[in-house]
Amino acid sequence: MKVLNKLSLKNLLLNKKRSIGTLIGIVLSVALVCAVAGMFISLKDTLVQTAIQSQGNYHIELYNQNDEDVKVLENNRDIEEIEILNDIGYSDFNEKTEDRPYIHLYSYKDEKSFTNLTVDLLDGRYPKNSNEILISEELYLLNKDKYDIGKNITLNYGERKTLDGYVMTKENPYNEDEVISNSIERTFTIVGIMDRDYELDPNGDPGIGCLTLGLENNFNKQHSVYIRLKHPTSYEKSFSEILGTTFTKKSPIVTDEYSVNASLLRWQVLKFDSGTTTMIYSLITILLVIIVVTSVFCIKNSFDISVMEKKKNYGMLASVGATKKQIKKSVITEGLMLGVIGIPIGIIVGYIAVFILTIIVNSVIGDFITRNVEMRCIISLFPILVSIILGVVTIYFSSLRAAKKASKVSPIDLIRNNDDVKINKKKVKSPSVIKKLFGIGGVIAYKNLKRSKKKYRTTVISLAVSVFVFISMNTFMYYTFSVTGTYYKNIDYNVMVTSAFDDSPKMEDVLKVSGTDDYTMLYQSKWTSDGYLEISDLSKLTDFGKDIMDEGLKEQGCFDERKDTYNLDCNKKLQMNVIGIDENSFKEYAKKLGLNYNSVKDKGILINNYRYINADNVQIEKGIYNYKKDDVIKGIYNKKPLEIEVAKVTDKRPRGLERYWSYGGYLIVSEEVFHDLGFTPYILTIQADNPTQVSLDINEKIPELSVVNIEENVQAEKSIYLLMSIFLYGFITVITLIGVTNIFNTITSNLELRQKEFATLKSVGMTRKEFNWMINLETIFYSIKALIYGVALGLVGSYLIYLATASNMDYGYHFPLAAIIISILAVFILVFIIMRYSMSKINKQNIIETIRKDNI
Amino acid sequence: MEILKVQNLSKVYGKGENKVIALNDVSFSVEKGEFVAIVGASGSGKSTLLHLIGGVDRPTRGKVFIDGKNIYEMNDDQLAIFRRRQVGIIYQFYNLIPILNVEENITLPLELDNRNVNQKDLKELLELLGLERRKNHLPNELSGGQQQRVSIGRALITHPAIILADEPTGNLDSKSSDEIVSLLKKSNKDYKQTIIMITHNMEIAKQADRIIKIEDGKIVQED
Ligand SMILES: Nc1ncnc2c1ncn2[C@@H]1O[C@H](COP(=O)(O)OP(=O)(O)O)[C@@H](O)[C@H]1O
Ligand SMILES: [Mg+2]
Repeated sequence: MKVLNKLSLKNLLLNKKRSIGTLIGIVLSVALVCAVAGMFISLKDTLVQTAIQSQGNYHIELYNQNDEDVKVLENNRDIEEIEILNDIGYSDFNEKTEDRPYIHLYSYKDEKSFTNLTVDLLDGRYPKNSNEILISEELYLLNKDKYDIGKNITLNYGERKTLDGYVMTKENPYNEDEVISNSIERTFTIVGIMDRDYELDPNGDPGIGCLTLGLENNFNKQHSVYIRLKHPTSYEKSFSEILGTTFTKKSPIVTDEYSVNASLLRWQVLKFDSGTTTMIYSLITILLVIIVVTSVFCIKNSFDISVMEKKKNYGMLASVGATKKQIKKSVITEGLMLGVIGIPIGIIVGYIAVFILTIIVNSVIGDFITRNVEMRCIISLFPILVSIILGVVTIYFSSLRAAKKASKVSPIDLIRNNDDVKINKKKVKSPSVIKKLFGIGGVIAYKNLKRSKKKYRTTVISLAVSVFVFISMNTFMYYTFSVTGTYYKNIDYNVMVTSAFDDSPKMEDVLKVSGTDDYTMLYQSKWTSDGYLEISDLSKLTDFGKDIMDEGLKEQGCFDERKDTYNLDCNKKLQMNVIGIDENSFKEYAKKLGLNYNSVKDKGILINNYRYINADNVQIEKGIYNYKKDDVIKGIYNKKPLEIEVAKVTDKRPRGLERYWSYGGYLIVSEEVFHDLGFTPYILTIQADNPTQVSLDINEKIPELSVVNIEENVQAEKSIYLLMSIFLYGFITVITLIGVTNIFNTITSNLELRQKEFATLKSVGMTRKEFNWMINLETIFYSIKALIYGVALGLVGSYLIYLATASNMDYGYHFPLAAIIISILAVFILVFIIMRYSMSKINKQNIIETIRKDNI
Repeated sequence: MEILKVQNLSKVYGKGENKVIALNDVSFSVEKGEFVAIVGASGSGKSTLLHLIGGVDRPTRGKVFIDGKNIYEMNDDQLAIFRRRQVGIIYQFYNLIPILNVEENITLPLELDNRNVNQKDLKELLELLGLERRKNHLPNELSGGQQQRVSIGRALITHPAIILADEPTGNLDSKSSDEIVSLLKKSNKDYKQTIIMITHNMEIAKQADRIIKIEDGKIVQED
């Protein structure tokens, strides 16, 4: 047996070129598997880090737990760690404002909670005892001198109570009649400033949140408990136990008693949100299947080839008495030896790729996606294990087949010098066209292809698979890009300002700050609930319009038992948004729609389409109303009848409204003409020379407004596309490389095995030119064959991808012409180069030497 | 008429220590229609001589004239064309093209030359070779003797000036060997085909018109 092992090793070393070919195949496949799995793990880690960063490192938060409850939780073995938060109470303070009249004091029990629950420290440090306090930036901004690090602050904190003695919590808005009772005075030193924490300090809470350490709640002794599970995977069981009721995937994640940190669980367990995770899993599965199929094909082929080339060896072994089993074992050992070298290299290469990709991700995407979280290259067991298993299994089965073949080689085959390739016996009549066009070289090439199909099958399939993958992936990219890429397409402004509050006359001041003429101001009605044009004539609605109206009413709670609590008017009607637009922009807009400004200035332009994503995650976009040009829209506006004539029905939106969708539709009118409707600024879009500076200026001078630097978003979006392209094209490249390795192995071996045949052709008088011509024809013939299969399959694949991703939207099927042309060129160039390479070696060889190899 | 003339032909392989003088200043000539046997020990240079005559290899020194033409004055392509018209080579291991059937293998040199196949000629040749009923078979479906007959057919089809056979019977049993030799003799007689044949077997050699004996790359005996 030892001899045979030695022989396996010798075979590998002697047959260096073939071994390297196989090795490259193994390394690429393993590296690709490892990179995909490693990237997946790193991405998962990033998302987990992001979730921890934004929500905190806990899985569930329980409200209103008393000391005994806490003790029970502390003894629960499923729980890794708990954090205790006490609501200490509200305190009056001098700088109070109308909607923030209090300071709301909280305290963690342990110092570790500040980091575990990611309190976002802007300056200073976390409190170390109950005499120190961390204040919200909001408080600091109210009086920068008084509320600063190092200063003392004295609070009189107590419970908020209504006049009739009800205790009020952070969910209850400020009531003029409420009082603070049972207050206690305490002085703290300010040690740090934190960003507003919306967990502690949600919208609507009348108190500005501040944090200290180790204070007890003196009124009700209740705590909020944040729980981190030991085994997040079995969260359903653990939650059920903790809550005392059955908790399943479908249970609500937020109730009066608890709140689940779903974003952390989702990424840690990859189970929570079925839609997203199904998508991730199916994507990974598709990628892995493509990798496995291509690599099995490549590696298997490599082994087949090397067995074919070493047939003589095996015949010789058999003739000196090696059993079939021994020969099999020798081939498999050879394969595993390659695996032992190739798999570790593949894993290293794969991780280098992951490392480089994370660097690219961090530099390209920067802070756009994940605030403060860097993508890390996580080296973990899973990708390594997957790579090893897939690698070993692939190598084992590939070499098993080759081993069987090798063991079938009998000494007789060796003596009779039988050709390995079964030749198709059927009579092949080469069409006379071929002879006329290509001469005898063409005829031989043609017969070669027809009679020894099997020899070419691998090459043809490899080429076809690569073409198929390329065309399909290309379509996938096309639709992903065009679906998501329309977001900021055709937008001719770079700063967008909206008001955080309903009523914001300051919007007009922005124009002074930005100092630009190129702007569009959109106005909405200043009456929040009555500022719509209410259409009660349902005959003006399309079926789609009626459906979404019903849907919308349902959502607003009209069909809910408690509808009166919302005081909603549930009559069937649609509320059309009347949007005013500044005079200049109205002129521009009318011009763009091909309208004459003077004849339409006292009319309205109806934006009739509504787009939404339905329950099946499909985007739907249709028209709402039946109105046509020159119809008069009649309805009630601010409790009075209003009639506006339609100048045009369109889905082209004015600047700034591109991303707003309402199932009531939008009616665009001139603000100047319809001034009496009571407009207030809504959205301002500016085309600024220096969007970054303008955004900063606005932010600083009028902080009440929210400013979006569109240009920055466009950049962010571009980076994401860039990244996706890097991933997908990287993937395509490696898959293609595996294919190329395979094709290279096949072609070179084919040509080498046929050397003698070529020498014979030359010895009976074929010139070199004729010979090269024949080989080129052969190449062209099977490239065409591969292209026919590959392109046909690719079109099917691309159509399926179209059906899966984009058919529900407005995009028609996009014929992947560019991809097809690239494929055709690439296939011919590639095959031609490989052929040339092998041919140059063959042509160099002396006819006699080749013939002599067997003849001496 | 002198169809072949070999003049001071030498072939040296390798350099320095590895230098092998495979052929050392060999000269002789062959008349049209002659059947010459070349004998000699293994490694004496017989194959080298034959390959040089056939123009599939080039000599270190010396000249070869076939039909009065100095074949080494031609370039590779001219030589290839010359070869397919004027020289037929038969090897010990047949060297047929595996994907071509008997008929296609035989007519290959004509096809390469873009010449039409004379069906009557072909039928006659197949009869002579005893392969009429095998013309559509592929090489791997034939016995060694049959394969060798195909390669003889391939050499004969162009009616070349000269046929070179390198141990055509070396791989065959005695019955098949006899068949092959008588076939060669028959074509020598019927077509006045000039043949130069290498063999180990003195019995076979004796059937030739003339025997040339080679030792260490030199002609040591000619009769
Ligand atoms: N390519 C080569 N390189 C070096 N030596 C060679 C080569 N081909 C043949 N020889 C040597 O030349 C000599 C003659 O070989 P060959 O003509 O094949 O002999 P024969 O056919 O008579 O057995 C031998 O010693 C052989 O080893
Ligand atoms: Mg020899």
